[in-house]
Amino acid sequence: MRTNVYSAIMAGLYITLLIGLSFLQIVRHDKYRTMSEENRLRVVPIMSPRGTIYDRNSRPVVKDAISFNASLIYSQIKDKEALAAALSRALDISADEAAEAIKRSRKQPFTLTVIMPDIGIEKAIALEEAGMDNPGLILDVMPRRQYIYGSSGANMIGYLGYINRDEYKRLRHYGYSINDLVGRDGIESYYDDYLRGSYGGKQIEVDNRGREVSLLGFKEPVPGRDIYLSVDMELQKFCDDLMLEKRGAIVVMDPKSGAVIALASSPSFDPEIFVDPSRKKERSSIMRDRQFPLMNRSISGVYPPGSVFKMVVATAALDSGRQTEFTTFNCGGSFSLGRSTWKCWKEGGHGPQAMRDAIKHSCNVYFYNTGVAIGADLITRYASNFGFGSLTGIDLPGEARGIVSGAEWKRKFQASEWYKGDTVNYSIGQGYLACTPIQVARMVSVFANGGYLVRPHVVDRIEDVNIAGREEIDMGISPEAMKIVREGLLKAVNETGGTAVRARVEGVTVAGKTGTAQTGGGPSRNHGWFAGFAPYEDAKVAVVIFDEHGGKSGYYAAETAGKVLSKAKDLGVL
Amino acid sequence: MRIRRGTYGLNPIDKVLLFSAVALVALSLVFMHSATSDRNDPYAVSDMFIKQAVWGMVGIAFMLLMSRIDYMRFVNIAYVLYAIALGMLVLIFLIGSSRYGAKRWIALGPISLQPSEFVKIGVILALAAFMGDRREKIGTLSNFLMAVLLVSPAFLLIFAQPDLGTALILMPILFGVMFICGENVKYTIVTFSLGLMCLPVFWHILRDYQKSRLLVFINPNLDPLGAGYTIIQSKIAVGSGGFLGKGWLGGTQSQLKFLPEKHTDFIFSTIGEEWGFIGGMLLVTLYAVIVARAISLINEAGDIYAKAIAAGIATLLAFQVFTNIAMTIGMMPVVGIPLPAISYGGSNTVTTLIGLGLLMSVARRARR
Repeated sequence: MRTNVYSAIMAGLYITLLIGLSFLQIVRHDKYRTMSEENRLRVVPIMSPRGTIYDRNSRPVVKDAISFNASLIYSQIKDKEALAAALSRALDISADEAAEAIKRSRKQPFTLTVIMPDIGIEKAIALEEAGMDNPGLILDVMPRRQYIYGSSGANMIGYLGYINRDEYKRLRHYGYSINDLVGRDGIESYYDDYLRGSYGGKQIEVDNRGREVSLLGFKEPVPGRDIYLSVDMELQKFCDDLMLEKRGAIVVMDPKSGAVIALASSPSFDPEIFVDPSRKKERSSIMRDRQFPLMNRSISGVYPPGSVFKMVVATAALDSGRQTEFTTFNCGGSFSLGRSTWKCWKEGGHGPQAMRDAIKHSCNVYFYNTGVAIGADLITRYASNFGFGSLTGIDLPGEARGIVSGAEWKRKFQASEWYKGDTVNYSIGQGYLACTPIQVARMVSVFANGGYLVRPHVVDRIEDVNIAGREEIDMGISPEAMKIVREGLLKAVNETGGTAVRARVEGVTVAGKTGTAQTGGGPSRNHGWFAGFAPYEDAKVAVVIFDEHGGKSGYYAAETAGKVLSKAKDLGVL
Repeated sequence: MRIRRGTYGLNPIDKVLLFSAVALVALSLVFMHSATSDRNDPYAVSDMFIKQAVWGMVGIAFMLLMSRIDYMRFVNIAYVLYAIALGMLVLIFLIGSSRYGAKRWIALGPISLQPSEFVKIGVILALAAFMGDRREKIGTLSNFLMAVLLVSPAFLLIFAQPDLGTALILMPILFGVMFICGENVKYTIVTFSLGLMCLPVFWHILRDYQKSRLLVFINPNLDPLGAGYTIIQSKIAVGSGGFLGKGWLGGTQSQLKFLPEKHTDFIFSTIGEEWGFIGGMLLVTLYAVIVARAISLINEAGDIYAKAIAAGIATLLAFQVFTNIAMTIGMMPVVGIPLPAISYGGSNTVTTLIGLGLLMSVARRARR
């Protein structure tokens, strides 16, 4: 009897082991097999350098430089005290900080933990020596993005940022991995696919100390592709310097091809703060800056065009045949419609004048009359044809559309009738109208190239592949109309009494138009504009200056344009 | 007082036990090679393999020798043997060498003895002598208490080494033998209840590492690189072995050294990984065959001495195997109990084979 009970107990032990083993080895086998593979196999990514960005003269603008990180693999550490001492010696930190760093690496004991990023070459050498006696201490060599021109062109070039959770979810199937840097804005973002290479990697079998036992697979890293800009960084830097302490944008573009030669936006920022982990403070302060330095004003900022829009109104009037080159209005200094009165910018008025002189003088009264005569719908049609209210298609992210209004627009968005007074404002580029500097550059290029819309672009080629295919949309403007407006723009710069005389450049014929856009904050808040091109006969450069709330008229914007053009001439661009 | 036996004719050597013992020693070497060989040179045998082979031979020799000797000869000098074993345990405190912070070994030239292993046999023989000599008093409280007192010195000395596992193994031996010999089950139940009530006090006597092992048993992730590391790696090894295993020398957990103690207390994780569920259960079944044979010997035994010996050896084997494998797969806290005759170690191997020799001696004189 007792033997039977005893046997039953023994059988119980046997069955318990049977159940325990079958649970572990059969039911949960998959889980533990995975864990054992994770123990044994490591994929070590081999970083690939990101492509270099060159300017039109093959000067490097952004490139990957080598940087050194002090790193630890906790599971390989043998002697913590000796390691802490070596760390504090090599990195010049206190013993407590060293101990703290070792502790931090314990969280992920089998992977590399960076304890001090981007140590200089001297510390790197000291660390490499210390690493020989201290297993677990690793000098981790990584490419690090270097922006050679600093903040110059930063808005156009963009910056890098660590991939966030949403992006990772979306992009992981395209070879992005966690902890990856991705282009965040500008060229770095738009051409991220080309600039980033694909990681190589090796799959290795490791032992309990994380040491490589055998190599199971290897994939060569593919470096990113180099990109060549149409931008001339010397001119870019010159433009950025002109805009220091100011807000605004400068666009310099080849009016025939749409190749952007300089694209400045101010204030700017230093893109390296996004790749330097120690500059977190600057990063967050720049995000909060009320001046929005991260916004590329040349393509994302929308502003009233002011008088540069008169080129469009003039073209509409002449090309539609509603006015001729001889149509004359008298400017007595003001214009009345019903009970309202609008002033010309010049007190006392310009007297009687025809189209060319009206452009030269930028006479408001002339264009009030013209606008009311041809009607808002026609202006809207021409403005749209000139590309206002739609994207230029520039190869940069974040481009804004701007607004072209008209009666329909106002009914829809403002729930209000379009009044004749609206037309009056409309015809001098005020009121329900907003555009980006790049749109203005594209518009003025039409007068520079004789009648077609270009697609602006900043990248000429990727490695050897030319991607700057010309895209021309013929505007179908009559040659007469084109000729008259162009001559008006020529006079504005070159004749005494022209509004844009400050844009003159020795030895080159410049044509252009200023603009002073009211913003409702009084004259001190006015925007200043200049849009023009040179040489007049066979334009090589279109230039747009935008001075945001500079409080100065387009007269001074023209002066800035003169400096830019003269520099362009020195550089051989013009 | 003791009765010389000889009433029955002698049986031939017990083939089941002989076959099982030889199989255990052979398997021990197969597993030992896998657990200790160098991955880069898998055909070279390690020192430990050679030592284990020698111990296996020595153990088999002892076993065969003992199977020829009447177990009553050992029972008659049981108290002396037990006293010698206890003396060795005391000696440890004076000249013992310590490993992992515990004094468990006595160095004798090139070999080191682990007296706590031999004490198990001493305890079984002493209990057999005690129960047999006092068979009229079985069932009384005083007899029960005296039996507990008899085992106490061994328990306390081993516990103080400290070696919690081996000390605890003495308990099922004590109660198993008493149960088979007919002691009152009531007393056992009362003793267990008292023991359970004393657990909180017991907790405070434990060393820090013993406490952390128990805590880690409840949650291995408390300290995945420290106390919990072994159990996590061991579960991964056994679990990843699956139904058929990864093949001999094919275990990645063991061959890449993720498993600590993989040739001693945790050798079953190597076995489970490389031989899978099938191999593990075959080994467990081999032990079960021995235990089953021992149980049948309890019925066949001609006297209470033999019953006590058979019960003691069966309990010792069964509980060691169960505890060792259960801790390897995370069903029990980690206590240092080797897998009988398989884990690396001379004392373990020889003791187990001596136990089997005693069983064979019992079998030789059993009623058929």
